[in-house]
Amino acid sequence: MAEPATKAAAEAQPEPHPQRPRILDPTLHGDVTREFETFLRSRIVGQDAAIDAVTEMYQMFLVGMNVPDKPVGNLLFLGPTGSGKTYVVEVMAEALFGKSNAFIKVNCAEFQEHHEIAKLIGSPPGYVGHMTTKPLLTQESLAQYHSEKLKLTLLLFDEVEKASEALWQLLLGILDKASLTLGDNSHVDLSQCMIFMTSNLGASEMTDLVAGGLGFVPHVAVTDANLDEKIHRTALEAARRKFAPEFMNRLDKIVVFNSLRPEHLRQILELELAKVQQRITNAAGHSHFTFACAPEVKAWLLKEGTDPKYGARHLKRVIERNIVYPLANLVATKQVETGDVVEISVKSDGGLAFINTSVANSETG
Amino acid sequence: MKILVVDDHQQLCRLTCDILCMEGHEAVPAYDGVEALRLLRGDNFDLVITDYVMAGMNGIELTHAIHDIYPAMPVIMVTAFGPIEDAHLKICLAKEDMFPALIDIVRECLAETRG
Repeated sequence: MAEPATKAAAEAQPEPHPQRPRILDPTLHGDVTREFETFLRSRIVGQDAAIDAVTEMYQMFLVGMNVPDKPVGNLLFLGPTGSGKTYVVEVMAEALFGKSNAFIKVNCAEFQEHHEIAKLIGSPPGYVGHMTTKPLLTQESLAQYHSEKLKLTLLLFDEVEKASEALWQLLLGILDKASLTLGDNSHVDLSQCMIFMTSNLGASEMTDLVAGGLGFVPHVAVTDANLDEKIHRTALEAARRKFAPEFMNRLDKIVVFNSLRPEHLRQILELELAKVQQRITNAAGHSHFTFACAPEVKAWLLKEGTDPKYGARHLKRVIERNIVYPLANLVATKQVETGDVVEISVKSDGGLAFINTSVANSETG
Repeated sequence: MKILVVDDHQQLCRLTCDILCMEGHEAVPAYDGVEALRLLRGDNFDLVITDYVMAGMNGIELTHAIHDIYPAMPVIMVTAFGPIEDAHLKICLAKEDMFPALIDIVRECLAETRG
C-alpha cells in the first residue's frame, strides 16, 4: 500500500538529471500521513515528541515497511497524570476512524490478580467460564474498527506498571510475536496493531522538576533550558528501575510526555472552548447561537480546571459544568435562541454571568 | 446506559444527548412521540427522558403509550409548565433546573437499574 508522494514535494524537486545522482529527503511525509499529522497537531498541545513518534509509525505502516510478524509499533508513553498520554490515542482514533473511542483499552489496574487474565483471553478448558467468558482480545474485536481502506487497530494498555505477572507474560508475547493464544486455544494475530502502553512512573519527580526546588525552599517555576532533557532522563530511569530489560528491549519507542506549562494549558482551554462551540453548532444545524468568554472567565476556568499535579484532567469537566450546563438551561428556557450571542463574564460574587448581547443590541438598535 | 431523549426543540434535544454522551451514556434523540415509539420498538433502551409540551403527542400521552408496551421503563419528564403529577412518571423536572439535576437523576436511575 504505497502512499502517494506530496504534490508540493514533487513540484519542489527538480527534474532528475540522467547522469547526476538525485539527493533524496527521507524526512518528507506522504499526503495521508501529513493530513494525519496536521490533525494531531491541531488537537494535541505541548507533546510534539508523541506526535512525531506516532506519525513516523503510521507512515511505516502505510508504506508496508513495518516488521512482519510483529505489531506495527510498540510504544511506551511515560509522563505525569493529565499530560495527555491517553488523549493522544483518542485523537489518533478520531483522525483514523472518525471516533475518539475507536480503540481497545485494557486498564491494567483491573488485571492485578492472576485469575483476572481470563477477562482478556477467556478461561482455559476445565475452568469455570470456559467457552462462556467472552474474551476482550479476539480477532473480531481487534477488527471492529477496520475499514476497507485501513486495517489498523489501536490497542492501549493503560497504567501498565499495575499489570499482574500473568498479564506481563502475555504482554511480552504480544510485543515480541504479535500473537496471542486464547483460552479456547484459538490464535489471535496482532500484527495489524499499534500497541500503546502508558505509565506515570517517575511522575512525582518530574512534577518536582517543573515546579521548582525540593525541601523547604519556596517552589518557583523553573525555566531551565535543559528541563525537558532532565524530565526525559528522570522518566527513563524510573522505567528502567521498574520494568524488566526484556520488556524495555521489545519497545520500538519510549515517549516522555512533558508536564503541561501555563502556555500549554491556555491553548488547551481555547481548544476545549472551540469544541463546545462546535458541539452547539452541530447540535443546532444552521440555527445556532455563539458564546464568548471574557478573559477573566478563561482565567477562572484555568484556575478551577487545572493543577500542576493533575495537568488538564479536570478542565473538560469544569467547562462542562460551568459553561455547557448553564448554556443548555438557557436554551431549555428559551432565553437563548437562533443567532444570539452570549457573553460570559465573572460577577462580583465570583460566579459566572451569562448575558445575551443580541437582545441589548436589538433593543438599542 | 442507553437513553432516549424526546423533545421537539431539536437543538435542546441534541444538546441534551451530547451532554449525556459526555457523561458516558449512549443517548439517542427523537423529535416527537411517534418517532420515540418507533425507536423504542427497534432497540433496547434503559431510560426515556421526554419534554411535556410537544406537537402531536404530549409527554404524558407518550409515557402512557410507552408503559403499554414496556411497563417497567423509567420515564423522566422535563417541563417548563410546573410539576406534572402522574403515577407513570419516575420524576418531573423543571426546565430551568435541567442541568446538572438531570445528570444526577440519570445516575440514580442507573444505580437502581443495576440494583
